[in-house]
Amino acid sequence: MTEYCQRCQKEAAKVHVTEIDAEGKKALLHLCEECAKGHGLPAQPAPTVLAVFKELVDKANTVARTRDRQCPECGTTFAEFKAKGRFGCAHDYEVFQARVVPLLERIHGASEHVGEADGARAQKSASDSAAQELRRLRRDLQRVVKSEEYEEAARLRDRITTLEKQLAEGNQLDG
Amino acid sequence: MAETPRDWFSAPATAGNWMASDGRDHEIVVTSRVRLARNVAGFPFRARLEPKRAKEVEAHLAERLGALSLAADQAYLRLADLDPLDTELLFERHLISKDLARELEGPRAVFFSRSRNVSVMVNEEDHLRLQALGPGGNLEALLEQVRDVDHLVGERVSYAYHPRFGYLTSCPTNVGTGLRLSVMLHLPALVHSKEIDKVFDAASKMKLAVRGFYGEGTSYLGDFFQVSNQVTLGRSVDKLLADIQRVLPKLVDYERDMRRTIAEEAGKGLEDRIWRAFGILSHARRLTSQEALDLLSHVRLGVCVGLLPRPALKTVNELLVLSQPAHVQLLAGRVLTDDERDVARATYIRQRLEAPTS
Repeated sequence: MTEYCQRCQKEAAKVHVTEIDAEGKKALLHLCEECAKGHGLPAQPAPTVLAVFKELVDKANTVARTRDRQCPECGTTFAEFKAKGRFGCAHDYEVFQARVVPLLERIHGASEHVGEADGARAQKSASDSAAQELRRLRRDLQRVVKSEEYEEAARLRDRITTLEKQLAEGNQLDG
Repeated sequence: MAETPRDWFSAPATAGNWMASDGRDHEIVVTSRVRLARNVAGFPFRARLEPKRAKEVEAHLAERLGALSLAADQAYLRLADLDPLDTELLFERHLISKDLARELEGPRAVFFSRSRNVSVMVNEEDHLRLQALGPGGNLEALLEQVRDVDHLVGERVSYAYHPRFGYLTSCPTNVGTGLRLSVMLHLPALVHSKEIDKVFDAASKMKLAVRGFYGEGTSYLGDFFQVSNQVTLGRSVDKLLADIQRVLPKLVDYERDMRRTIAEEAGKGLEDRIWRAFGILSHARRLTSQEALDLLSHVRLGVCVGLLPRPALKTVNELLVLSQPAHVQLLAGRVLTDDERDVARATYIRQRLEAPTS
């Protein structure tokens, strides 16, 4: 869970300050870097050596990931997609899933298709049973945990719980 | 080649039939359109489609669409085989998009049936854009029609589909259902009373997009606005329909209230503008398509609120379609320069407004 800045409510809170007023009352403030500056505070507390090191490693990893990620089918990179606003092929949705999901959330307020697939597709998707979806979700979960996408992981976990419940109920009915 | 769009659209009455001149809310809800975006599994999307592959997509779809028995009057037209005037006519009838007609390159086609008001664009932004168009605001019936076609095509074509994301599209704004429900509204009273910005604000809050006369990427013309759903993912097709149908009556009532206010204030600003518009259209010797559209919009309002005794609403609707550049040339029976078009347009409109039966 991201904690938001108490002042602007927009950015993630990165600076945490304990203020003590004239009467000696303590107040804990959580601010983003920008608001902290306005508050007369340094944007960031003096970094520890370990923190600096971690940041460098993170940055290197992100750069490597975004630079190398390319759809094996059509060769589109995420940067290319961002520039054009158009995907190169159907596989891009899967290849860039970790970044596509937040994008879809922004555009549609959702990232999952709802409703029966139409036409001939309906028959095929009926065979894409709940059990299959469960397997897929569990796979996805492993993947996002590895890449530390915790919000997405939480969403997947909830979906898995719901499906498991549904499956259990369905089995009872069948039995 | 057998028949061309020119043959189909040469009778002026076909233009008027396309817009509503009776039925509920016809004076405000002019036309509706429902479209589904689909791609063929196994082919790259448009952005990565090499010319050779684009040809394959087109051939793949030509064979399968051609094998459908949708209606007796169905036709499959390759844009490369069409005269530019025919392409423009299809565009002006909203049967193909501006992009398909003018912007995109490579093999493109349209499959359509006039009797069913259905058209399927091939190699638009997505491999397939299936749409149904009709007068008035009957989105439900159009959705039914386009779903029928989708089912028929879906039996023969394997669509790009993902169990989580639904139908996959070039642009993430269309993914999921691939559904766009649009209504073209004539909102001159809201424009005149400067209330239209409130409509835009409210629409965007309700996740509806407002676009111009020819749809996506086109400008506002003659107080006509296309209102459509922005969200395509996370809500079922039926929910999306219910959402827009909940908002639509409110927009219609808003415009209707404004028209009533305007009519009561007759004698003030707008009545004069409406009569001037009628005067210019009845006497001008030259009219650009933009000017004609603006003036016809005023006349349409005047007819709807009873300020103008004539022409008939159907005539105004016809003229809105027939004053577009390709239609002016169709009526003239030959290709015209810009200048000649403006003269021909003014002449035709003048004649139609003079006629006592109009």
